[in-house]
Amino acid sequence: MKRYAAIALTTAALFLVVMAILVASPPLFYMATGIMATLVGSRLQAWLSIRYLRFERHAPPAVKIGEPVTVQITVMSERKLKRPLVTVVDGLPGKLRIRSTTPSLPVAPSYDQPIRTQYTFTPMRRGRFSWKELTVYGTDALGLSTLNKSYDIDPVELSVYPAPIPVSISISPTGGWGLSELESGKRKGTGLEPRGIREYVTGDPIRTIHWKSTAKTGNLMVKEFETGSGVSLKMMLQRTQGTDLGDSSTTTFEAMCGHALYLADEFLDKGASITFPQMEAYDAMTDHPDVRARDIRDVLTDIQPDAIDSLSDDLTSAANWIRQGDTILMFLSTRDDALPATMLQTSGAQFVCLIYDPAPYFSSSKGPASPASNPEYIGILESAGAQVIPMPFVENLI
Amino acid sequence: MNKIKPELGAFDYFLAAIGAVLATFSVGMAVGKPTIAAFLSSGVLITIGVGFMISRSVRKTDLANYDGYLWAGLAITCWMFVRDLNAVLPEEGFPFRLVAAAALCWMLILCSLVSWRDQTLLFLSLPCIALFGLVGTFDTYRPATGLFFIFLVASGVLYARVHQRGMLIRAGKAGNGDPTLLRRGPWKWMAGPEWAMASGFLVILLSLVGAPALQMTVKNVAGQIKISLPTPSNSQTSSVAGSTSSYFIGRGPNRATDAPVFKIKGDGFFYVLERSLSKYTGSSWGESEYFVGVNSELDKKYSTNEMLERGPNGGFAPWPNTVPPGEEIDNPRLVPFELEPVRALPLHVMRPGPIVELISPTKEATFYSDGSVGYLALPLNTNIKAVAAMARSYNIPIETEARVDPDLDPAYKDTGNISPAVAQLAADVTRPYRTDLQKAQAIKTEIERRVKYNLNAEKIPSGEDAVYHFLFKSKEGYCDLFASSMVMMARSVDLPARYVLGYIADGEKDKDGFVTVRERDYHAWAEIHFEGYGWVPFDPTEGAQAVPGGERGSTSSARGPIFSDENLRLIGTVFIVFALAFPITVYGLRAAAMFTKKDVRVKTELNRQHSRFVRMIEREVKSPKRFSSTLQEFTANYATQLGSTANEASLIAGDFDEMMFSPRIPEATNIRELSARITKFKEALSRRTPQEA
Repeated sequence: MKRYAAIALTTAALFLVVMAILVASPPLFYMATGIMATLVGSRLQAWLSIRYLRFERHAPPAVKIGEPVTVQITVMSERKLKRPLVTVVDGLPGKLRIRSTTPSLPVAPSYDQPIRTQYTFTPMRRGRFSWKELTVYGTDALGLSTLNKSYDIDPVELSVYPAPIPVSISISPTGGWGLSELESGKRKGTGLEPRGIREYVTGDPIRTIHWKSTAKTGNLMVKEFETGSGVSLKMMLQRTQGTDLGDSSTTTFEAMCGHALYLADEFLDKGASITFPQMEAYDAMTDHPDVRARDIRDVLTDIQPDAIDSLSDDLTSAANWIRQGDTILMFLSTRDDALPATMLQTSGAQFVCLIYDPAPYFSSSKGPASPASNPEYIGILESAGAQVIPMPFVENLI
Repeated sequence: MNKIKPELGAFDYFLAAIGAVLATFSVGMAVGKPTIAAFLSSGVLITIGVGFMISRSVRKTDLANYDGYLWAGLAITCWMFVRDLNAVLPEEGFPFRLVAAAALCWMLILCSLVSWRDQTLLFLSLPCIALFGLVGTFDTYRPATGLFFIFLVASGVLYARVHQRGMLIRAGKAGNGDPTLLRRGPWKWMAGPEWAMASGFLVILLSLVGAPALQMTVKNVAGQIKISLPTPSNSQTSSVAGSTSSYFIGRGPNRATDAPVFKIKGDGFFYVLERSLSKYTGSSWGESEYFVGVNSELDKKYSTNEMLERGPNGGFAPWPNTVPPGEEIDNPRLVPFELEPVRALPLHVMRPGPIVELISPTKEATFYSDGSVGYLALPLNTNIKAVAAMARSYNIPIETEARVDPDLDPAYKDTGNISPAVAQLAADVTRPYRTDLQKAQAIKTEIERRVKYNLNAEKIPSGEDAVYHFLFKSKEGYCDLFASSMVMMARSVDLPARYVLGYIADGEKDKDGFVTVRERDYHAWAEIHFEGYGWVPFDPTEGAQAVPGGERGSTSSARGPIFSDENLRLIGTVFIVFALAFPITVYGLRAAAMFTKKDVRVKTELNRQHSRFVRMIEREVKSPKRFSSTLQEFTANYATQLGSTANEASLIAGDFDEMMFSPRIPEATNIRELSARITKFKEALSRRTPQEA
């Protein structure tokens, strides 16, 4: 409404100027000049208020989806002049999918002292984001003119991790070596025998330190336990372009990432070794579960549904890393006709297909043409020897 | 700023009321209807007060969110029913041409009732601007410009408060809505009210200087539109028969100014008549019942219409080749003249004599039976061209009788309110003379001898006969008393006489032949009717002695009253300069007082050198110093780029840290030495070599 008042004032001033000239009335000249001077002065003050500023921005490096992020912005004036209040709006990337943002505190930048303002937003999309633009809005003291200027400052990098989405799946005991022990809930440190001594790596619990070896060698040594029965789980997500289905913030691929993270944490806790052949090199794994969990979280943050290769192509590429007795969890939502044959060609491994029905992820009744949840396709997968588990619909990613 | 709260307060409504009251008052005065001005301004004041009380009641309810819709609805209603609303106003409301003013005024009155939030309160300023625009267009109310600037300042303060409130609300949403904490922290260096006040006065100053400059610039293209002036309200135009208005005489010192009233071009005349009056009350003059005004039958008969004849000059001639019934003379001298209005003209246009032919403009002109012409609405920048008939008063034979048709106006010989002493004096001075002309001249001579001309003469005490007091007691006065004395003394010896108001056009002609007639040229004189010759002026001020300092055109009168235009401009300019200079001076003195303190001076200089050093390095390394890093960290981070000067930069940074953060205040000499080192550092920086790894 104030903007309309400003527009009306400007129009009135122009009209008065025109009438003053046409009618040659001295009072109209005074009135028109007065209003024009006020408007010009307002514009000048707004213009000056956003100039010659310096900014610094601080944001946390990483958060989980749905966690509020507080960004602090420090502003200082490079000229010694009094300014009206300015407000700062960060140039957040659009694909960040923000749920709510608080306004930043209006501040009056000072020449001698940095002034701090901050705002909070809640990201609802995982990934790694970076932005550097920042827009400052300055309004004159009367609130008639608002101008803005963009500043490019040191970029901020924010990693938004997926949140683990609890899910319970029952994998068949014949699905891979050691799964029965995994399912029995045995965890490391619960009566398992140590299998050896190795050097300490960051994250190892203090209680596992082998003091004798440490004293002997002079280096910190820890006991290494059997991780269950040496279960090796490989997780592969269908990340082909066009397979991320859904028309809201929750899509099939996001649900896969959340479930994958949860399952990975659960299995890691029970002593399994988890890998993502699509995103990791085989020898990049570390042994320690806490570090591994962080690596998995990073993998699931970076993975995007923008690949050209299909899931069956990924499986073929990863064939060299698949060993006898490996259990491969396949997360898919769209029918991949080459997948059953590829599975059959991959010998020694057991496949568990986690199927995501895309229909609930669409607000309209029309769903995709070839979902993986098609009963016929499920039959084909089962015929290829895979265990098929339908996954529940995820309404919220947090 | 501390006192600004997130909700509208009484002060905000007060600021809105200032604008609304001034706007409605100005437009009422501009059409010459003070009653309307008072009605509207008091009405809007009341409704704004009521609106404030309603806003407090509905503030926390949902109803407050509908104020915009109510505002718009009432505004539309005012325009739809403008004629009915205009009829409600006193004095039959605004003239039809200005009915938009009625709509705007009623908008202000009614919409004030539903202005419950910032936005709707701000919108009240728009009809105010429109009203001031109307007033400025017609330029019939001089103080409007000053009132407009007061409105501008009040509105500016209101807008600033609304904006501050918006910022407070936003700060509250951001988690810090405490004005005290804000003022101490992130809002400490905000451009505050002193800046706003200085800006406001600067705007006014710029307008006072810029407007005339702008007007001069567009002089050649300005004035393309002719605006019909609204008819100024004049009680003489009342349709009630017998209604008169009074012109009081002997009211005390005369304060007429040099302000121009009109320009006139023509030859052979000295007196320019505005109106003649015949009824004396003892303290005032008025029209007799004979000349009632625009609705008299005689006047209506001679309004311009197709039935009028054309005169020899092509204009309308209501009395072809003769003069009006009340002004009949034989063989008049016909004098063409042209009158250029500078201000709005009175109802009866000034003329050297009764108008016998109107050349232009003729549209909507009315001829009055006293020989005058009037316009209901005269287009601006329109000159009046006409032909007047003047009596050949210099060749009157001595035997000519002073006679007028008694059927026309018996008041010309009315001596009803004359003092016996005055009548006796007239009889005494005229006893030796036989003819009317000799008697008239004798009376004039006696008045010239008896009394003195003084523009600063005291006011006639109330209850006393003005002519008697003038001739026998005070013996000082100016034209109105001279003329009144001449008329009453002439009547007492049976000479038909009338009191005339007008101007003396004796100024210098400009290059176009026009003489500028000013307020101080306003004059009163007597006229005596001689048969066949018409009304002949008799002005006893011609030969009267003047009291030193009280002469006509003397500095005491030419200077004008204290509130003359020139003085007002001077006072206004002084006020504005003072108001502008005062806060600047106070601010400067305070800053200087602070600066005289040693520690403040030293710290200021230290900060200045610090900024200089930091910016020097930032320019070289092309990267800003982060707020979170110390100066030493900054110089260390860019040691490689600083090359051979890195060490010196580090030492200087260390000195700065010591001086700025130690409890001991450094000496001025220390800072001077540091400044010299920085200067040398700057030179070394330009010659530096890359540091070896």
